[in-house]
Amino acid sequence: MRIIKNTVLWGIFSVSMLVFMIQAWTLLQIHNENTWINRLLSGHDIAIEKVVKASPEVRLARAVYLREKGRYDEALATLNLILDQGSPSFQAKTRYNLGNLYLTQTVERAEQMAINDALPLAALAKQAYRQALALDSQFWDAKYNLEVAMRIAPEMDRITIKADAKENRKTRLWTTVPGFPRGLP
Amino acid sequence: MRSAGPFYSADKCFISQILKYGRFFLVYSLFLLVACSEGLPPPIERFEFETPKPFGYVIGDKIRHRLIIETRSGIHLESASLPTKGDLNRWLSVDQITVRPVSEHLSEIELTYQVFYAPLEVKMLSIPGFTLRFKQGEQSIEQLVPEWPFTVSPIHELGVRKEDGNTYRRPDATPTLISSQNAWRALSGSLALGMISGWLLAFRYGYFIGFSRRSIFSRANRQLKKLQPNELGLALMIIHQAFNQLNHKPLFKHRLSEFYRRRPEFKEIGPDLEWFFNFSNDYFFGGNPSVGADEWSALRRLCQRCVELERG
Repeated sequence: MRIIKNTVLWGIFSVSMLVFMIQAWTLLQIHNENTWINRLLSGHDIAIEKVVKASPEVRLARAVYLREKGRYDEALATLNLILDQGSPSFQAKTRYNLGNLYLTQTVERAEQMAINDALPLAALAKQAYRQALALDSQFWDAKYNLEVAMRIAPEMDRITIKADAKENRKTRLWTTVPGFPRGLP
Repeated sequence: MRSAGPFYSADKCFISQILKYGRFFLVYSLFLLVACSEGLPPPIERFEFETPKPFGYVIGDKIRHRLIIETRSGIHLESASLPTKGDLNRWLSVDQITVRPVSEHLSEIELTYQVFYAPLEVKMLSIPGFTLRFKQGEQSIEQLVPEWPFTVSPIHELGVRKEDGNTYRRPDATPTLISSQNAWRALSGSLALGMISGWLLAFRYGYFIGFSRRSIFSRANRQLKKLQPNELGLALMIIHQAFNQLNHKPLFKHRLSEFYRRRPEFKEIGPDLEWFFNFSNDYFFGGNPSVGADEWSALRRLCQRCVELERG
């Protein structure tokens, strides 16, 4: 009985010490990662090796930093890596930021009158915002920006026109009209 | 002799009476049949279509509809007649469909739609209706779920807001700092548990200075381990000293019962203690002690048992 008591006590002691050490290490990691997030959000980059092993929150912060610096391809690659990670609300944030990234590029292309490039980007932005809203329907920033994207590239129901009519083919080039709405309706 | 004429006339009249009452009976029977058939319950006894407010929606909002359907027994809903999850049209998608059977006859269907229409002004839209199909054997029964009109409003102001020459957009979502609450909780819990179990272990092993009585035999055992079997006298002295210290005064064989009263846990090794005192007496005062490996091992075992007893 005494041996059992001692064994149980040693077992509890060992497990609790192991948990203590793991949690102490976890706390240290959390502290470091929060420092990196703050650093990225204040406009300073961190070493890429730190990001590789870090949590999705650090990657999201880095994607925000990269977008602000105009490094869109890197931001896109970073966001794509964490698309399905984290809680539903975190995933909604990731998709919303992805939508913002596409929308920024849409606006830039539209201003350069590169409509052929702008339209697919607008479609991607709308899709990303829709996915964000499907995950969190109360995400007001996503609602607002989806409406912006919808106004930039409105969607219209396709009207079925006989395909064999040659004169009609010219009118089916665009299903959406790019551009900003001007003035009151 | 009576002529056949009046008889013939009477028979004709009788037959016409029978035909008249027969027709009445037939009509009455048909009436009863119809009346009885009206008593059968309809296949769908109850259909309720519960909807939320039909106004004030904006892009991305979810709309929940609830259908409560009570059917006659043996009627089953065809799940294929329900709308499928996904896009219904350009601006409307079915987010979730839940069919919950409440009882054998009663079912609840919850449909969640999501609207992705971006109107320039308040606009009336409609969630399309559909037909629910039920099966009873080979027979098919249908129930129409009506379309549901509602209004959707724009979020944007009428004028186009500009920021640095561009259309105003909401900024990126920043990640929230990683919460350390759970880690702190686990750290504190494991530390508390480790401290309690460590304290108990230290107490049991007699490592506390304040609990020196818990370490008397531990010390004696350590000293015993350093001795050789030919140093039996010294070993006996060490064990005697340990008992004296535990008893707060010299312990002799004839005072063992008094010792057991104070330290009842040692009663279980009573025969060993009797042997120890007899052996010690023989060794020191008998003049001809029989000493061998067995006695040495017995002394070591006794000391070890005393260590276990003092640890509790």
